Amino acid sequence: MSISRRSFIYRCFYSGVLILGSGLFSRISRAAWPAAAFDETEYLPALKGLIGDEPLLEGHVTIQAPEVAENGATVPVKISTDLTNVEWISIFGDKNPRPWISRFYFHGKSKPFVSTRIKLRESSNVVAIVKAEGKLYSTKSAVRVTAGGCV
Amino acid sequence: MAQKEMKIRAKAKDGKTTVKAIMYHVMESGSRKDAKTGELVPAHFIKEVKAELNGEVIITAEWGTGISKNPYWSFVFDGGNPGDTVKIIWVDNLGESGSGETQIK
Repeated sequence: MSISRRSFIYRCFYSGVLILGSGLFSRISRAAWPAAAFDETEYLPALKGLIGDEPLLEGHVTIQAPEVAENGATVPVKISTDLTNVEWISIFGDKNPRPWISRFYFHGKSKPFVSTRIKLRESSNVVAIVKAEGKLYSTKSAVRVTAGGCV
Repeated sequence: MAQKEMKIRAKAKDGKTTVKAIMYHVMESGSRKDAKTGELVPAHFIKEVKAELNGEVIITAEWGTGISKNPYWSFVFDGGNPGDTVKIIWVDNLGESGSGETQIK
């Protein structure tokens, strides 16, 4: 079978894209960025996309967030836990157009702690989920937003 | 693409090190409309971040569009000596990347 010029060019381009995608812009984590769960527009399906049907246990997780946020575009949150062997901490805003905000994996000497600033479209719960020794722990903190973030 | 600027500080105290960083990035979600044109502003946001201590990865992260513009991130690790290098590297949804590093004080 002969390869037409157009097809050849197309194949060159396509394989180039694959090489760029896999090599040059080298990925930071080994697993693929979980697009489906990040793109989910409802909280519960987004949560399910992350943890499946695993039960969520209470306690051991602390969220520091303001009760009232004047600017939903930048809400400071701190998440900490007294659990050991923490694999990851994940953050949700349950009324956001894309509720899943982030996940942080802890290796080596790092402490299971996150401090960052998130967008909240409206008054909602910040939900933190911690995975430690195969179990999931969760807590939430209500934030009243007086001016919504452009999310 | 040129490396973006980042502000990063690391300070050792009482056997642990606290790192604070601000990454300069628009963090466009893709669902915001331009005030003048009414057109949707295309998504442009950091998707993956990692932190290294002396070249060893200590935290990796996946971010969605819900992290604020010019992301602030602080983390803590055990140990760390003055002069040790802490580095943060990010990659966004357009394949652009940036990094910043500092020595522990």
